[in-house]
Amino acid sequence: MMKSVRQMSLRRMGAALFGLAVAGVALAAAVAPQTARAEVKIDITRGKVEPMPVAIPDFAGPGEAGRFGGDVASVITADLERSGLFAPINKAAFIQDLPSLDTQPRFADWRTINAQLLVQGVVEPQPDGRLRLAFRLWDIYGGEQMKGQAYVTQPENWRRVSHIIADEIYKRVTGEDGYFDTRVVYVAESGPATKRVKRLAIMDQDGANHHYLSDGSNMVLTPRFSPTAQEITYMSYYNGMPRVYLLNIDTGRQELLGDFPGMTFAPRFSPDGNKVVMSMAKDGNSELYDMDLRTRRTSRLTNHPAIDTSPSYSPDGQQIVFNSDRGGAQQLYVMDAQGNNVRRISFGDGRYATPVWSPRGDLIAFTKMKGGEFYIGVMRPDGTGERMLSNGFLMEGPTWAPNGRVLMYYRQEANGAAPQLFSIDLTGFNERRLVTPQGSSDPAWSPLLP
Amino acid sequence: MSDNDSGLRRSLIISVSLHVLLGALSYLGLPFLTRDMPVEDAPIVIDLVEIAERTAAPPPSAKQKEQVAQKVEPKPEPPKVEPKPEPPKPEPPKPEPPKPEPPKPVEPPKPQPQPQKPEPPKPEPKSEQVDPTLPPEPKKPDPKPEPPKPPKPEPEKTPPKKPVEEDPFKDLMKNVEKYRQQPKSSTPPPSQAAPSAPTQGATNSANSPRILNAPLADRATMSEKDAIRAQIEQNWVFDVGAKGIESMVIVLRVAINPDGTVTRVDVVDTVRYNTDSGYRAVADTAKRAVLKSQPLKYPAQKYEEFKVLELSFAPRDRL
Repeated sequence: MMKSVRQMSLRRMGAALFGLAVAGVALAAAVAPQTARAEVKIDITRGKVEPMPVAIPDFAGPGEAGRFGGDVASVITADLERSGLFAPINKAAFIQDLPSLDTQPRFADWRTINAQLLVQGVVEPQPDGRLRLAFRLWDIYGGEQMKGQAYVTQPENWRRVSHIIADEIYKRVTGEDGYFDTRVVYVAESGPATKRVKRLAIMDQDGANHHYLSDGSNMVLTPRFSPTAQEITYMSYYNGMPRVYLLNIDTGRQELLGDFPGMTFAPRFSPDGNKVVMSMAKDGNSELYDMDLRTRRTSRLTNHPAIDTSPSYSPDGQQIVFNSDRGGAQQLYVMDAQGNNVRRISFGDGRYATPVWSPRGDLIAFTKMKGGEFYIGVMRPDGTGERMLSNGFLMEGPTWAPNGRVLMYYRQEANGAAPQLFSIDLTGFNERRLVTPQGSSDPAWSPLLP
Repeated sequence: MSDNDSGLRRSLIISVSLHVLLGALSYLGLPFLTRDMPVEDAPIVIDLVEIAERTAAPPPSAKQKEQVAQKVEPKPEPPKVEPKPEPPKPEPPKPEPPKPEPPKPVEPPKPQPQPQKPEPPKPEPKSEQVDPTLPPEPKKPDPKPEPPKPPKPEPEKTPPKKPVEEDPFKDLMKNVEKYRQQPKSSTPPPSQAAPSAPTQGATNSANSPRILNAPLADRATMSEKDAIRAQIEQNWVFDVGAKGIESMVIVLRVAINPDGTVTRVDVVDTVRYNTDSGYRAVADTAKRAVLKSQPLKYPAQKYEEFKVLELSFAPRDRL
């Protein structure tokens, strides 16, 4: 009897507990949506597209070393400004002095001049004669340090370290790798139009440190950088026939690539730098071949009576874009790296040429000829989203910055003046001329320097 | 007598049964009414969306983007939301409490430069990762936006929106080749609030005013949100060329003080923020926009709803 009573009460207690639990759940369920609803949700879908205001005071430093401070800030300022994504603020507007890296920025002062970012830096001499360059990148509105880094280097390397610092800032702010610590190889043109001398030249991406790689005795065309090494491939003439060469920039060593029966041209490296893909023409028909640079083995990728040329690998190395007139007019096609599964991606009127796959993978740049004009354009690898970034009397040879954000190409006017190099952002804005000592064509952008 | 008696009894029975019926009706009928309430409550939300259709920008962009950006064949466009002056929608007749309609913020009210705010003592001298947190801006006695402005929201609201919607888009990505202008269809959005509105009104026309009144009063209305949206959009600077930006959505949770200054900005997707540098870069632009926009303008008497905001930044409409 007692037992059953106890059981009863236990059972009742269980029921009561269960009821409590249910009530609790119900209460929670009732409260939860209430609090969730209390949070006001707002969709922000518009904004402004404009360069970000950045303040870059001269790097501070004592005596002799301080001499570099202004130069370093100038190189960083020029790099960021040229990208079109940053708007450096005139130094005359600065309110606060930052004599050392430990001086806390007064963010209100920098907000007053509308800076959103602040680069605070120092140049300090080391006992061994080297320089230590250090910087902090500040988010003015968040009041936080976004990046801080120091480099020790020989004084003559100050320029390169400045580019590296600019790359660090670019990367932290945009989320993508920079491209300031890079070089550009191009074909320097001099002499009258009928008897042009074409030499291979190289310079930093901002035009500094310019020098020539060849003496002009041989015609040089279409240089292309290896994505992994300081090596370029290009076309020159051998026994009066165009052939593909390989050149090591550091050693100056140059070699003929492959022993083909016909002429070879339009070479380009694979993304891993181990292969070169190119055109080989024989009896008026050109096909695409790739060559393994270690084994020197070649394999044929296309087999079509039409002209196939200008191959370029996708960044994963799995696909190749090229142009062909197999459909009548010259259009862009994509195929597997082994040559299978060919499909046409361009369908506009006009002729398409020199496709280049972006290192970022999302776009293919090309030259287009239409209505007596040339265009530099981009489209997605599936052929959608075609946009023309720039046009003119003659413009050709697009090459991507290693981060896939900026294109460089050359442009020639109808007046017969020598061609010049230009760069443009992939949004189609910020077209800029890159000043070279002579006429310039066929640029090729290096990867980020090791 | 017995006749009389039976007549009395009959009328008594009739009277009693009628009373019982009445009682039953009132007992059963009223709960039905009240039980229906929640169901009727749901359409209210739809009514709110309808307000949004009016005050916020029309959402054509995705399609529009495709058209211009990729030069499609001029096939008949799917009907786009056309921001024509909206037809007088069957609005619930109840006059709403005058919406505090802050004037479109022309320029972001900037925090005044504080005269010599003492910086926090630096914690450690010179490690690379010095990370001093900025003390929250001392709050200014910022006059709250006056709530009862003359409520004439709609007409002046929509017209400025339109050009904003179309023009900047064209600027974003340049295309030097002129393609034929796509014919723009001007049919109203097919299945938006417009068709549904009349039916809503029909079903609960009897009690809608009564129901609408209560929840609307203490709920953020679209035009109040629009004010904050406009304020932040003014200050949001992003990079259209960033990789993958067209598919990014950045959700921020923002806590504000009663004076509209921001106490916290958190990126909701912390995992992606910490692993995806491209996402982090765009999220940082969103955070900066919020911080630059403070004090945020919200209706003063609604602090409880507005003290935590969930902002989702998605630039895809603009690409």
